[in-house]
Amino acid sequence: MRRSAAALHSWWRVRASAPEVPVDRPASVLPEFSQLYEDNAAFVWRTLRRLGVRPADLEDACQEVFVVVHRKRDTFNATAAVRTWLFGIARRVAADHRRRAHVRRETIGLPHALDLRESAQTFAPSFELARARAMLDEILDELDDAKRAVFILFELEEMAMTEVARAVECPLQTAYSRLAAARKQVEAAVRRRQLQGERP
Amino acid sequence: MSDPRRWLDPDSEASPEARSMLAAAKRSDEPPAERIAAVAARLGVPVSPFAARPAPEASGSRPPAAPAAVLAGRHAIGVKVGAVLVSLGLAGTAWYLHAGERSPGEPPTRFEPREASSAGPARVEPHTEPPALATDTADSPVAPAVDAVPARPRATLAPARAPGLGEADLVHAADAALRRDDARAALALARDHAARFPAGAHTEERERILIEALVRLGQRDAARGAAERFFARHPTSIYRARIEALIQ
Repeated sequence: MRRSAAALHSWWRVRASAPEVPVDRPASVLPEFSQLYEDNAAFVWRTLRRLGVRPADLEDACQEVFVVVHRKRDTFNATAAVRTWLFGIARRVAADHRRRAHVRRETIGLPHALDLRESAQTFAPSFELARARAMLDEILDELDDAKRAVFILFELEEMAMTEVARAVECPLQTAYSRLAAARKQVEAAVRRRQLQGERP
Repeated sequence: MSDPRRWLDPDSEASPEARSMLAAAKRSDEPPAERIAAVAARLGVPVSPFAARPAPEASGSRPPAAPAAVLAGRHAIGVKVGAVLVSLGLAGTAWYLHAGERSPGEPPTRFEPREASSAGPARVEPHTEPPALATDTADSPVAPAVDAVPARPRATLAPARAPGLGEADLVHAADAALRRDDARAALALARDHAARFPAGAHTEERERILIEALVRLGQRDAARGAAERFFARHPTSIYRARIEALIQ
């Protein structure tokens, strides 16, 4: 049966927004790799994006994550949630990509802000949306990795803090502290940009 | 301590500007379906709901594999999503993940508890790599001239070494060359990677690219030899099904 591109897009949006794998329930054994990909590819993509991987590099980074997933599947801790494990892998891949992107920017002299704005416009449906997204990229880049991870998992991925703490491998109280600190820093950055005439 | 109200909640303490930034991210961070499908195709993973899965009783035999020359251009499940999705034709080659029948000694291809899996060779981790594939393929007994039978129109970009690129960038460049149908550049870059990073973190992908480039250049015997060495070193690699389809 043939289906339209719109139907496929609609199917992916439903799958992407609905957590197929309960994030706070450990998996006794990993599902088949194809199922693991189908259930979590969108989560990995979003995570990489929010951890600073440029849109142009997302396909490569996503592929890298799942190659590592496939290679390390035997090391999966059966008491952990699948997305906790995937987040750890995505975090390391994202860190590598950011390091390489930083070296490339310095090599070719591309201003960081311009790079981000051009990247954000690639996939955003409107200029305003792109500008808001680019501003969030800049502000998230100002957070250290620990605060950034907690912030994106709680505010954007809407994980419960207990799961966030497991994903970033810190005590729950530390996760709360990091979230509070990240929020404070993000609001300050927003106010600063407003004073400079920039708006999301 | 209970979780605070999320900033996207209209009643939260977040400023309207911060909330609108987060809302922008929620809207624009979702991956387009075709990009997810493109990554799936590169991994050789069938994920579309429209993929025709074989019946369990038929899963012992591998489905017919798409010839290498059309792998990038044929879509086995008839969905019109654009050029990128046609590479989902590789989906049909990954049914080993669902195979019920395995010959003795064949490594498990499903996720199974270690204690339940039948005996099979331990997965070979690519930490101790043999000499670079560049040497292996050069020694192939049959190596027709590169110019003899190009499977695709020759690309305008000449193959080149890339001494300034790091390991991952080199593999990415080789893969990008393949995707723009420049098999010669892909082969050169893959050989460059093999020479500089024989035991690198991206060895499996490098070898997959090299084998595919050889096939596209008509060097099928060299490709077959490289594939056999690949299977010996990486028996449960994610790229196994794709490479098997390429060399058939």
